[in-house]
Amino acid sequence: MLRKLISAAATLFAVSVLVFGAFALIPGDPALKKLGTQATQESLARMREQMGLNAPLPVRYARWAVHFINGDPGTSYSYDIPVRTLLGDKLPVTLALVLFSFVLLIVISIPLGIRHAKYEGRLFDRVFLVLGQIVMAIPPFFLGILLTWFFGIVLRVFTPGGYVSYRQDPAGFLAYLFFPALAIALPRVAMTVKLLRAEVLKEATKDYVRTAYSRGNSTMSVLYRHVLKNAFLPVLTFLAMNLTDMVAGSVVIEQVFGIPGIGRFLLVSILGRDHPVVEAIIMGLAAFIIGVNLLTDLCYRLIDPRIGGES
Amino acid sequence: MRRALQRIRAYWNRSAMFRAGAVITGLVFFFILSGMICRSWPPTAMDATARLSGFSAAHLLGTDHLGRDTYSRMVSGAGTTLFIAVGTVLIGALGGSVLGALCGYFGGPADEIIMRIVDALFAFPSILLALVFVSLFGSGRYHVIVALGIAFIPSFARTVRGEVIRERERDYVLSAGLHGISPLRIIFFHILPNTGDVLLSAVLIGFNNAVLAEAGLSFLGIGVQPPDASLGRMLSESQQYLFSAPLTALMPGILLVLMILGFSLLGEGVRSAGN
Repeated sequence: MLRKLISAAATLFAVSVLVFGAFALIPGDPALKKLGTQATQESLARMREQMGLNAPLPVRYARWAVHFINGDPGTSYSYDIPVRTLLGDKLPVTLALVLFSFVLLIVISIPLGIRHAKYEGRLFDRVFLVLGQIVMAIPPFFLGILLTWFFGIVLRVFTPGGYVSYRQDPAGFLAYLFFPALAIALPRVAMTVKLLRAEVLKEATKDYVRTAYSRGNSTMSVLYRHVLKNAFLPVLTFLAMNLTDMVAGSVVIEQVFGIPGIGRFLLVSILGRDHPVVEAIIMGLAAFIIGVNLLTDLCYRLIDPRIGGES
Repeated sequence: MRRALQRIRAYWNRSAMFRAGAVITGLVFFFILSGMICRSWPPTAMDATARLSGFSAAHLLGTDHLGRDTYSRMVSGAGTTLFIAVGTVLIGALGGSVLGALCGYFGGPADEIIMRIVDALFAFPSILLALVFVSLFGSGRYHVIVALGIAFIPSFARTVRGEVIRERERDYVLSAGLHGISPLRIIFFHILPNTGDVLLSAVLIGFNNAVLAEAGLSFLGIGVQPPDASLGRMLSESQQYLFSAPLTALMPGILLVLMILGFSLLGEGVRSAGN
């Protein structure tokens, strides 16, 4: 476990060096951008000094990293406001969206996957096999547009573009997030169902299942007490991978539904070349992804004590 | 050539998914070719008399908010998407195969370090990686190809490395080594051809992901730049007219779904037939 922690820290360090280095090396002078092309040489030089751009690269990296660890990722070039303040009210929005869709994913896919495996070869199974394959092929943003069109315009269940801030109305906020969350979750539901079905069916052919049956267990108890325990491990990894992918999905979905979250802000900052903001968001995402992977590892060990015993 | 045909026939016979994928992909290509041969409107021409119109004789699939013909824009957009996807997969598959094969065959500390980096990159969703690369290099179709191509290298490298490690100890590789054949020749002429099924299905799945990623980037406005058509861009442009003209958004979306569905079915078909 300690080795895993060290390797996670090393990865995070590598990401930070790459991110900082890349943004420092690309052409473009932040001081010039801030002051505009009308600025005099002197004021530019003063600005560069003030922004700390004159120091050598490693020193700038060290300064940035120390500030970052202390919870201060710098000041936005475009808004002149600390990045922390800027991200502060956007982070909960994205977090809520991702968690909401993750909950939807689990709540829909696990019962469906089990049911699927139970009815293998029957009509239910076949219909969902085809349906799942189609749902998997729908890009999340098109799914978002389809949901907006069908539920927002044809059925009028919600108002497209009618985002409600979580500060004003938490319940309305969550209600508005339902369809965006569904758009992120649905293709992943199809993938998870497919995987769970395959894993359950694979486990069902093993000897211990026959033994369990021969001891007089019912299908229900064999399925829930024996097969699922084993079939669930690969699904868990897959779900964790999805959690990180959903963060990426939220970037696009926030754009479709007009939700002012981190993803949308990342896009604006990339287009506006607001490097401190982009760096902070990418580092945050990297930390999140690495953290999720660590947690998955931990869950693995809890579910199956055979794993990780030797280290 | 004959062997390739035999292989395709084997996939066709063995897998229903491959058959469905081939039919869908065939339809998509037919659609694109039909538009290239007989399109009446250039993709950027604006017909001021027909904005946001539905199906008509003049505009088969209607027009967008500027009066541009949806059918010819879909054809040209799908062409752009395919072009970018081919470029992306070429870079990703070539770079990833070379990297993965060398790492898998030789092992050692270099392999350890490279695979750590690949793992770290692999943990990032490819659209996020591409976003970062595009923010570094700029947007436009060639930048998108490079950005996505690099973002696709890790997954190919991992797949190929695993295959090479599995083949490395096989008798034919050992005997080739005893014959004094150089390691590079063994890797690229003996081992890699034997990983055909796995590589082919990885390429097809990669193709499907590339189409998805390109459409996503263009949808976000940082992929293909106007006035070039792209399916993703058409979707983002038509989204605000969803109320008055849903067809303008639904048509390119459906084409996109068919493209992705076709490639993913082909990929899965190859994988299941290979087993």
